[in-house]
Amino acid sequence: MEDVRPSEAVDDPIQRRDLVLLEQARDGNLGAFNSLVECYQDHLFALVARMVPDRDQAADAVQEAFFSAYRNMRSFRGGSVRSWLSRIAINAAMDQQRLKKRRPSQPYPELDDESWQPPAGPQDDPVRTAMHGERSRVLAAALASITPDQRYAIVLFDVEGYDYAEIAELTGVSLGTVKSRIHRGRLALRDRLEDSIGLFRGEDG
Amino acid sequence: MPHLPDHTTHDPELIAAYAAGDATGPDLALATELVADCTDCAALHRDLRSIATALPELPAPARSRDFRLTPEQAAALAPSGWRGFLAAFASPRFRLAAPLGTGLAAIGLAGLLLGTPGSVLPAGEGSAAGSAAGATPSAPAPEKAEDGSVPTIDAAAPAAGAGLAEAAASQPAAMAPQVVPAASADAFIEPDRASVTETGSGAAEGRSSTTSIEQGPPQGAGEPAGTDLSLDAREGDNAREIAPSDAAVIQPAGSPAIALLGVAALIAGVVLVALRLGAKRLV
Repeated sequence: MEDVRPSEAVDDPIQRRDLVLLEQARDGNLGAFNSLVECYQDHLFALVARMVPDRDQAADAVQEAFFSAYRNMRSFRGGSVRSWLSRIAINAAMDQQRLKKRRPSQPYPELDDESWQPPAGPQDDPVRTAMHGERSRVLAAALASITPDQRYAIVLFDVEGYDYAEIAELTGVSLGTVKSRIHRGRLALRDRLEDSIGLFRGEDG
Repeated sequence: MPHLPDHTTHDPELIAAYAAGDATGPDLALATELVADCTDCAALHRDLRSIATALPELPAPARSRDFRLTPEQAAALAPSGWRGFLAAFASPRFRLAAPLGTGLAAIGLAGLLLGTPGSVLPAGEGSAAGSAAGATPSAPAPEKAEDGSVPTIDAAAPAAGAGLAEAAASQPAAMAPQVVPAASADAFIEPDRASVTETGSGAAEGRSSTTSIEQGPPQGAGEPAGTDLSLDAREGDNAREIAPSDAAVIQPAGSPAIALLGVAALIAGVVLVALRLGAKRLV
């Protein structure tokens, strides 16, 4: 892949901005690199925290991901900086999970806080909003309890929107294995949500 | 909805694949039938789709810290020294370094093989043995003395023989075997022929010189071949006629300059490939 220079025509203004910042960072501008960090640290942390239920491990993985990105800026081959950073973060998350296998802590501590509520508009039904909050809490807990391979596949496919081929490349397995992990992962979630499955059936009838 | 007996025999993964839209062919037909005819399969199918719908709605976990790098962290992460030098080769601007280095190494290897002495080539210019053979005709024929007598072979031998001995000594030991200069074998024959072909007043002298050869002690192994060749040197052109008939000799060839350039190119190519591969492994 060619190295995309800022001078080359890039339609997406965000991508153009990212490429300019990355080029400046390559030239030694730490401020430019930190600007990229500010743009994507929320997204990367959310991604990694869903893959690695332990919050501390997730934070360590994200920090390591940005360290790796800074070290390997010259290896960027062009395309989307966001995708490039996401790939680094996913690899860091999987490495973190492999290296530090310990009992995961609460992945969503804010969901245990009864005062926390998801963002809601003025016209939202409070009951519906509360039900959504409870559904998210039990779903997050169930997601944290399935196997790491199934969790990675489900987070990348259902939450982050990667397709089968991208997930196969990221995780280093075949297309059939990716599909199998997603199917079995969803079955495992359904088994763990058996007592709360009514929260998911309510809207669908 | 009719309830199919023995739901436990129904494959839940088939239902999961159907819910994900991945069932095809006979699996798709079977899954459709199961979902239509089995209440448990239908409930499973519905739950799986609800879960898949709910997953993207999971709230994003709040970031627990600021991940921006401090100057100290950046300094510690930046490669320095040889790592910094090597890391530069990972840049896309050096993407052609590996194929270029491979080509350079191949060219260098070819040059090294062509330029190394000992390769089999037809006899050509510049070969040492050729010059040794050429020295034979170039040796000046002894001049006749004022009284018309031609210097004896013994007197003429050392001068030419010494030169030929030097030429023989200069040949590398590893050379391909040479055919023994034909002149030395013919020396026992040609003098008779030469003495016959000579005309004029020199004929008698030639005959007398031939006689001296014949009467002399047999040529031993210790004597330089040049002694025999000296007769051909006195004959001049005759020796020149003899040597070319045995032109098909294996002679060493080689050009030190080409070999040196080949080594340089080979080393440069290997270094280039190593730098590029090393940099990619480093990053």
